[in-house]
Amino acid sequence: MNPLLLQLVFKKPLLLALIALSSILGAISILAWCYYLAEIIDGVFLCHLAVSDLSYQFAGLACALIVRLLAGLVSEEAALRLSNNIQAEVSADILLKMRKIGPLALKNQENGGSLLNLLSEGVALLDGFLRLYFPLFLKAIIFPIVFLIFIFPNDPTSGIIMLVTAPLVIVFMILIGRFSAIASKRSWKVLEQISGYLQDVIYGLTTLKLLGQSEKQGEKIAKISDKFRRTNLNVLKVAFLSAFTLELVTTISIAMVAVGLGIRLIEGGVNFPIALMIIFLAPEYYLPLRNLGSQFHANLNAAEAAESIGEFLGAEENPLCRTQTADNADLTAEGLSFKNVSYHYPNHHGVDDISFSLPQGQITVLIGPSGGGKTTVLNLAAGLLAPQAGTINYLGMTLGASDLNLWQEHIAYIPQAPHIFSLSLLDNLRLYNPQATLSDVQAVIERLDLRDYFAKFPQGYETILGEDGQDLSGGQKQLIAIVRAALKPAELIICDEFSQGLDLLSEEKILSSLKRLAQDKTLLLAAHRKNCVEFADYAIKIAQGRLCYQGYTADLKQNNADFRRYLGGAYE
Amino acid sequence: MNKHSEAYKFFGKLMQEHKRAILCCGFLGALSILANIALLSASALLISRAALATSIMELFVLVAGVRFFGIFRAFLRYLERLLSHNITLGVLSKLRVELYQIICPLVPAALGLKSSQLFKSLLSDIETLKYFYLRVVNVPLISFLVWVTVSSFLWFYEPVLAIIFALSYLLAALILPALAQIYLKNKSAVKDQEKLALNIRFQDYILGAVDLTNSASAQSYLEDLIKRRQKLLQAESTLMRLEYLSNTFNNLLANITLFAALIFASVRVSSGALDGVYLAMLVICLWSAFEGVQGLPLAFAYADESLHAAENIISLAQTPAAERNNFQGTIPQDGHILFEGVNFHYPKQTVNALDNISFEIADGEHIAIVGASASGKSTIVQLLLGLQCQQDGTIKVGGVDLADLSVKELTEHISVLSQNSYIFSATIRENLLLAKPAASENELWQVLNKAGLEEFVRSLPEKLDTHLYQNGSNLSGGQRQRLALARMFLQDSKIIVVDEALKGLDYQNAREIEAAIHSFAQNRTLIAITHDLKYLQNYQRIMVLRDGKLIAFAPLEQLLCDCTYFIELYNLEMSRFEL
Repeated sequence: MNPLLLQLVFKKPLLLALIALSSILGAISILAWCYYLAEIIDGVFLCHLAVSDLSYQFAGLACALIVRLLAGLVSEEAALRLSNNIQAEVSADILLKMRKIGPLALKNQENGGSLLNLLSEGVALLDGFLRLYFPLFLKAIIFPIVFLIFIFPNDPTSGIIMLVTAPLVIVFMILIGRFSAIASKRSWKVLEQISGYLQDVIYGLTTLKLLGQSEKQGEKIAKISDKFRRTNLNVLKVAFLSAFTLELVTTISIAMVAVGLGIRLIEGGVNFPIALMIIFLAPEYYLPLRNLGSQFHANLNAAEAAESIGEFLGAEENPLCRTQTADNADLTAEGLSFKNVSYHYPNHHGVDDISFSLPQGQITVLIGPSGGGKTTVLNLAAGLLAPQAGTINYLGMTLGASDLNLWQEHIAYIPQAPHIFSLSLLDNLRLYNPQATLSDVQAVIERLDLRDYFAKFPQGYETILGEDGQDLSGGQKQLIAIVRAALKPAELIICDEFSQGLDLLSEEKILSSLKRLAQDKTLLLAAHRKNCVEFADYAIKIAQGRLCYQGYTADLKQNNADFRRYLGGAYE
Repeated sequence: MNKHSEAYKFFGKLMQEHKRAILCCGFLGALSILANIALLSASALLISRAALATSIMELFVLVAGVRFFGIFRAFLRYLERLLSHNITLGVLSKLRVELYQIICPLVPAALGLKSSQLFKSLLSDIETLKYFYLRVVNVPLISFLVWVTVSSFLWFYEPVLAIIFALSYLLAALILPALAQIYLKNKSAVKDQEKLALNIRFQDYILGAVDLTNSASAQSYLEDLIKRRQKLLQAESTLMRLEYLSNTFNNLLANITLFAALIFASVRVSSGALDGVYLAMLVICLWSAFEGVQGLPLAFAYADESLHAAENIISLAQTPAAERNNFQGTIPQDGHILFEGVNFHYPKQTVNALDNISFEIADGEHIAIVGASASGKSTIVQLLLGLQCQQDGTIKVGGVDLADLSVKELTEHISVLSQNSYIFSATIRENLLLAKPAASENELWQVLNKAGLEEFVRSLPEKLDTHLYQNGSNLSGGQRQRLALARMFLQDSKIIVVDEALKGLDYQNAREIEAAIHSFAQNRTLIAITHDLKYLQNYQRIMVLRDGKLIAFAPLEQLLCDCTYFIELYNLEMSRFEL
């Protein structure tokens, strides 16, 4: 059994105890049921009694049945709750972990589908162990013990057959389980591949079509599905082999017990009601073991899922999320400054030895070619990346040493492609400041002169956006992000370049609203267009990960030829 | 019944090729249950006979029977399981292909749907439907076979017992599922909705992680997610409760039957009408036969879910597609393009996206289309690429009516570079080969060179076999577009469409890519949609669109003289500068 899964299950000792207790009660009631049934048949068949002479036994049979059913209900419900509670806790752990590994690492996960899959399907697979396999495992231990306690004094030979075969069953199960665990791992990987592949194909369907390849993909899906079928069938062949062995051992044991009892009955070694009772009991003795075998596959899937979940929960965390020093932000202290900051990505270079400090209350523009490191600088400033060398300070806080939440509270970050949530327009607008009222939101929209843009939604501020809701253009998304930032009581606004091609008029609108937004705040803006540079007070040029020059735009205009090219018409 | 006839047809189609296997599997399943019943019955009879017998020889046949059934059952079960799962996996693979083929013609024109919704429908409906055979077809078939066999067996000994059994088994088979249906009513639909809502929120949480760092509400968003997840678990437990409740009820019904049969048979034995030696056998036979109805209530529940899922897929299939498939045999000869009186409006929109558009582009001509957003620029391209169908008018490519071309011929003749060109999560080589599966290694390097990507690819440790992430997220914007450009070069088509492909790129990348496009486009027809009015001198004519109408189509110098709308746009553009 997978240690990760056991760890999970022992988180709920009370429910476990309830399952165990009800299993014991269930076993005893089955004993009683078989006993009364055998007594009745013995009475009618050999003692030639009338039904009316057997009312005591019939009542006993009925009582045993009721207890048996109730015990079964209790144990099933307990198992269900056990599984639900643990699934909920694990989901919560995963969600919390997502926060801790940091948003950039989260977004960069290779296949967007796999995390979602882990959350919705992976966690649900744990149920196979928690609700099905483990309670059955308990029953498979408790039932045989209770039954054997009764059978041994009454018919030792049957007792020995049953006692010997039960461990045999378990040994077989473990042996075969080993094999199929390996195969199952493969099948899970194939499943992940298929789901990632299908997603890729669907997202890229238009492109495939335009390349004339869309029909071929149908064949490819068939091919991959077929591969899945073959891998899976191989897993099943082995997995079912364990069920097969279990069934074989149990049915042969029942047959052995029955034949042995028949012989001893003739020889007078056992009396009829006991023999009949053991026959009734035999299938009940093996039932939990057999059921266990049929859930073996579920157990393996659960173990696989637990490994994936464990792997994710053990993933490297964003070092910034760990720091907990509760400095207070000092609003009178210096604004954002970088001192010899470097950051390198695992597989491509980032930025080197960057130093600057932002003039407070002014607009600073980052210029330079794309891929040169502008976005990296912004991500560092926003606390999304941790500097590998150098220090970043802001309002008396040091990134990496101060509480990240506090750091981010004082910065509003407008990402390159803002995400629109499946919430109402109003809730999307006040995402950074949920306490804002409708009139606060309207006031900001008024101040940024964006009233026209937000007047056209079909249900007004209640219009649902996002995945299932109203479609938005790139410009509208950017404007929503600007309103979000404007509503956040932060002193510094960081704005990445808006990449998703915006048309002329939208871009004009965005820039003018940014300008209005920046009136009483510090703004750090990455830009690759002249009209962004024009209204900046300060400029920093970054190319190939290095800071080339910085200065007030008024000065740079005078004495920096490169900078003039960003303003003038002389670049061509 | 009629309401679901489409869904039944769909199921029929899925099961068609497995007909024989299904029957075979049903018999195997029924036999394995019967073998178990036989083992227990024979054992009970063996004990009863032994109580009266004086020598073991009298029991010879029974002993052999017990041993035989003991071995037989396991083999039957194994075969049945393997066969039924094989059928299931076959159905699954057919489902995937089927759904893909349904979706394929609908993208992107006919579906307002977003891809993740498609994805949801693909995976979740298929997940449900893949169990259709195993849970909905196989289980009732087996129940029925067990019912018939056991009833006949009991009839042979005691007809009244057979009737008691047959009726109560039927009760368990029909009443339980009916109760389950009532219990489940609407619950599964609610569950599905909640699951969908939760998945969207999960996705928001992942994709919007950066935005949420800003937010004071990140914590409460997280808490809300956790709460919703718990609620969904509650909803899911409904189905699981149904499972154990129905098992318990089944057990109860089996025991009540046992009671009734025991009392009746005892009376018959006391009166001498039935030999007492059969009492134990009959009772245990009848009782153990209830194993056959165990899966039925869930089968009904799954049938309902499957119906839902199938209807989702069918309704998708019934969406009218914009695909043209009737290739008439004439291949376009050159890069000449003609639009004549073309109208187009998107569903649910009152205003025409294109209003009576007519123009002609000569073979080898380079033209640019300009206009504000929503002026109809992209719609023209979508029509030309066969992704949408015009409502009125004619479109001809190389002298051939577009309606007479299938997508295949069309895509061989026209290639496109757009901002949305997708990069697949595959190697660089595989991404390139999509455009020309037979391309040689040399050709691949050539196009990479022309696209200005050769140096970069050569610098990668795995070169052409470097694996790219979904939509090329491990490439920079410029590298992505250059790769898409290389792919277009490989297509080597007569007509090239460039749909705002340089948006969002920095100055240097944009100019280099543009130069690469122009040198490639010599002797080909080039249509470029652009918001960039500064580089129009490279085009022979400029088409100006405004609100779906073509207001001018002339050389740049002429537009600058007499098209006031264009001059206005042009001046706005000239006030900015690319860096």
